[in-house]
Amino acid sequence: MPALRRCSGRTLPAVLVLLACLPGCAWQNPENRRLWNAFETHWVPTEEPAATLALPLTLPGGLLAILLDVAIVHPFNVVDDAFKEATKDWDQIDWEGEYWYQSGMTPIRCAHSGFVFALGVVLRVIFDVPAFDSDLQAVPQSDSPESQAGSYDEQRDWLQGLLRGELRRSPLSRRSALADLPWKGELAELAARVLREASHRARIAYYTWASKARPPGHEDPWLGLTDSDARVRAWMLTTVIRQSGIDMPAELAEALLADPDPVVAELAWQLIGARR
Amino acid sequence: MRCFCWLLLSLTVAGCAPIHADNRYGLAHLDEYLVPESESARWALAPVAVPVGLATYLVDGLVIHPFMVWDDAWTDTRDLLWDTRDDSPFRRSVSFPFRVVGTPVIWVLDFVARWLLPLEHVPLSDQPWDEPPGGAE
Repeated sequence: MPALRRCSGRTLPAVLVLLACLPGCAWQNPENRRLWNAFETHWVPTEEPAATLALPLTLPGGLLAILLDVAIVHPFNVVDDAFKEATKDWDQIDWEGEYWYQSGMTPIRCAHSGFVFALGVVLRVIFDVPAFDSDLQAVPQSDSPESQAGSYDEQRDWLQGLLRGELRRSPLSRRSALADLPWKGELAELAARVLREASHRARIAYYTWASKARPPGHEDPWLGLTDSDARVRAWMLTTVIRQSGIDMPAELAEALLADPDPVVAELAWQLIGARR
Repeated sequence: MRCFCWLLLSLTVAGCAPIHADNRYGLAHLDEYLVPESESARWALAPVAVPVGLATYLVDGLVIHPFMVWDDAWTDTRDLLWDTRDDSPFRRSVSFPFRVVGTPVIWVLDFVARWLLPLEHVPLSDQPWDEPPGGAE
């Protein structure tokens, strides 16, 4: 027993120090040290010599704020996030269709959620884990009306941005994602306006996207090579050849080799003519 | 404590297989024929439904499911070791002892995997009794 007492006498402070140091990662984020922030903002003088004179009071006060933050405020602050994460699947239970299965799974689910909750609290106390947002965690279904509407709006904003000269990457880069969109009316009209009115850089952005996404009406991957601006043709020549190889229609290749712009013609000769 | 340990062991052995809807036999019947229509009735039945559902889950996982997958394990073993349609008679002869030795090992591993994991069943058309080992003539 005395040996145990001696051992606990040595290990207890070590354990306490370890426990105090563990949440160091979470402390890197100012949002996780609310009490300390409030203490520092309202109680610590910023001007000398008041700051130095107040040290005998502010130093222990600061240490107390750290201890309270670590032991009480931050853990309480993360409990609801851990709870939301642990119970995020409970709303999606199909009680009508799988009543007996879900009822039988309830004890298992409770045990699982309890474990996830405890682990979530411990991890959040120690590390700076971003706040749990169930809306962000939900994986949007590609064919759901909400995600379609979101994609439609994003694509429309992107095209309108191109018209204004804002060069951003398209939110939709996959053909399958594009297939869900009603590519008619406003979107098709905006795309046509981009090709008619937008700057040469915006057109390059559109052609680059269209050569991969192949939107209806602009399925031709070589579309950018027939643009009226030589700068667009030159750029698209290098990028499209890199992506799609040189297997382009013979007529288009001839037209590029005889391009009125000498730079485009030279590029065409280097990229297509020399290999033919 | 001992009861809890047995329950934990049973749940571990019953595994994840009944998570796949096709691997629920008793539960599928209960869910098809015995679900109360109103929500209040479902809540009222909960004290019965939780233990009965858990017990059925265990029976599905521990009793019925292993009985249902032994032939799937054999089909997998047959496809892996005994499908010798493309082999010459010489190869078949040389590999015969290895296939004999490997058969119980592969069957047991496949059986355990199919018992514990939520895998799909082998389609009925691929079951061993539809086709003799070595392929249909």
